[in-house]
Amino acid sequence: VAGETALKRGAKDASRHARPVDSGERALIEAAQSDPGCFAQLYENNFERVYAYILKRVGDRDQAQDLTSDVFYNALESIGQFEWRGIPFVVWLYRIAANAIIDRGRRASRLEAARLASRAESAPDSAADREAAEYHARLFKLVEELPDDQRRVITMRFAQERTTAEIAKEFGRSEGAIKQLQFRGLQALRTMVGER
Amino acid sequence: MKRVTRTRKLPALPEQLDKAVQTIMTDHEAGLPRVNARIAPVLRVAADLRGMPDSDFKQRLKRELVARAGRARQSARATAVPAKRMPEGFHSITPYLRVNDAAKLIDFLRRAFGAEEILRVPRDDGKIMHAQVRVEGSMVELADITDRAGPNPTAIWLFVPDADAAYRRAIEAGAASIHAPVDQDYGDREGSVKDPFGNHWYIGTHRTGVEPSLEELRSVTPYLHPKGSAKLIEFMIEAFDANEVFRAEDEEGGMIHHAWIRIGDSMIAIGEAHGQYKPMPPTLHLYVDDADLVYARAIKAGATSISKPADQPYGERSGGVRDPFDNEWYIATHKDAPAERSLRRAAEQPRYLQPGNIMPFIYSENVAKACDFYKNVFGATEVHRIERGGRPSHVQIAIGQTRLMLRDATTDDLAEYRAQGYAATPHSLGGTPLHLYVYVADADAAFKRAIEAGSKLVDKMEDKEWGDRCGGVQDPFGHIWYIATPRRSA
Repeated sequence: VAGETALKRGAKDASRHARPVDSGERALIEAAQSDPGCFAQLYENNFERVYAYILKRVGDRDQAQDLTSDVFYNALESIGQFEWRGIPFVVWLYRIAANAIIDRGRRASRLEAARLASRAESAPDSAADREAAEYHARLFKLVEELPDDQRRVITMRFAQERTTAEIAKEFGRSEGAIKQLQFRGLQALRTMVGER
Repeated sequence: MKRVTRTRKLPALPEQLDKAVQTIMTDHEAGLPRVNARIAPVLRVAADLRGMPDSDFKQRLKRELVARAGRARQSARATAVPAKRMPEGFHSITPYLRVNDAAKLIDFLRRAFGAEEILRVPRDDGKIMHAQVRVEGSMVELADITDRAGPNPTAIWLFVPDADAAYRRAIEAGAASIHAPVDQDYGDREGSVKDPFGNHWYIGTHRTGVEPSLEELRSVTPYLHPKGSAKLIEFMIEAFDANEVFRAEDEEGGMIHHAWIRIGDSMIAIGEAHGQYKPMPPTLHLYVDDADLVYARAIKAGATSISKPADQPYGERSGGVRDPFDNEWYIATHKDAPAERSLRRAAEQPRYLQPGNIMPFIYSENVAKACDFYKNVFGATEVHRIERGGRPSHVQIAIGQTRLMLRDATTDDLAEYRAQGYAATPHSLGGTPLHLYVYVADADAAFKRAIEAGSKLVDKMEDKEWGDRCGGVQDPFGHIWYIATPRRSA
């Protein structure tokens, strides 16, 4: 589908933007290992990636949220075991996520497991998967950079899945105005994400 | 005639886009609808935003992580152990006494000072190769003499809560008095004895507030009587990075009456040999961070080698030197024994990964009822549940530290599993080979609740010969529970 093409193009772009393995991250990890209180920054840096990675594989918001929680709880608990070998921290998180998805499949009913497995098969853990996650993560983060009105409309529309009529009511504005904000917000995102 | 071109009026772009967005939001699996080329790229971005996380969720999860991190930090602080320089219960310095009949010395230390035997490693001939006793919170190591290592009478300053009582017991246990307890001018109450093996014990009750205040003062503190104390102190500073804390000497600066030397977390007392206080060079077991380094420094500072540092089978790397005053130093770095190491590693794991945590996974026909039953009888708490078709298929419960998974054996998804004979319940099997032995605070009360809630009596509640008060029931789901409380007297 067209979205997939956009996604692939975006992914290429995202991979250009993928952060190099940096010493700042290493310092953050070491800080979190000696003081779990420092984990929050690692979370901030990686939340969108992990969420996007999981969403791509399970396809459902509620499950993606649950699994994202599991991944970060697990990561916080086992941060002490993380050994620095020059691999980005997020790769470790992806590995935890992949295991959590499989684990959940085992715990869930067999039907559910089959559903998850078939998705997992169609989207095996690959570089492409991670690149897609990078792209989506970047897109999700860019929403925060929109002007306030646009950001709120985009969030309510796509994260809370509300209709323009509902949003208009909450804003106390016309539906037309909300559609206009949505249009401008999406246009701005398209420009920022580098999609043409 | 005017030509009229009729054009179909299209909705504005934002309107078109919203319609398309509504379509893709309603059906996530649907492909993108055909739209105006000007909004197609924007719609693709919209499609990629489907499922985007709610910022509320992100913030909530962050708050929960911060809270968990805080709890982890607190518990880490509570259980933090300093780098293991020395084995549990040891300080930097431990005197090592070699005597002819170490067993008898252990007996003396027990009777005189209430020593507790920690370890005894016998030789083939029944003598003691190595032993450790704890005296007033400090370790003393001892062994029988060998052809190569003769007796080493040692002077020890022993701090006890009641010097008079300890002095009396020491005399009763066979020690000879050096002097009866008196109040010393430096504030301590102190008496001295010589044990049957020639070791001196200066038994003191240290008055707090007396200067110098010595946090590193151990209840067992070696007391050296060298000829040439100043030179010995120099050696200790060079070899062991010792720190001279206090020195009292003649006004002419000749003789050191008394000095305190700190090494690591321990103290050594030094008083120049005089009168009946002859040199009594001891053997001291010294724990350091790097045995090889300290050994080399000791040699450089004038010591002679007894044995080069080597990995010892008892979990340390150590080597021995003899200093110019004939004191023997066994310089050691503690290495975790494999068992100790694996235990520590295990304790660092998340709890569900720790070895020995078994979660019984038990099948029954009605998980909701079973859960209520265990809550009622054992005060179980529910950890989480998975519902299926309006009833729970899985409920994880906790009884004390143990978790149990209650699984509905009748759900459709288990049909194949059941056919293979796996998801069996006690009822479908007509019995169960597994008995769950559970410790509770009040076995009688829990047992009574179990019976009242419909359990069958299996074994009556009574004091069992193995030390528990215990009784067995078969619960309404067919599982057998032995409900126990340890008897205090047992």
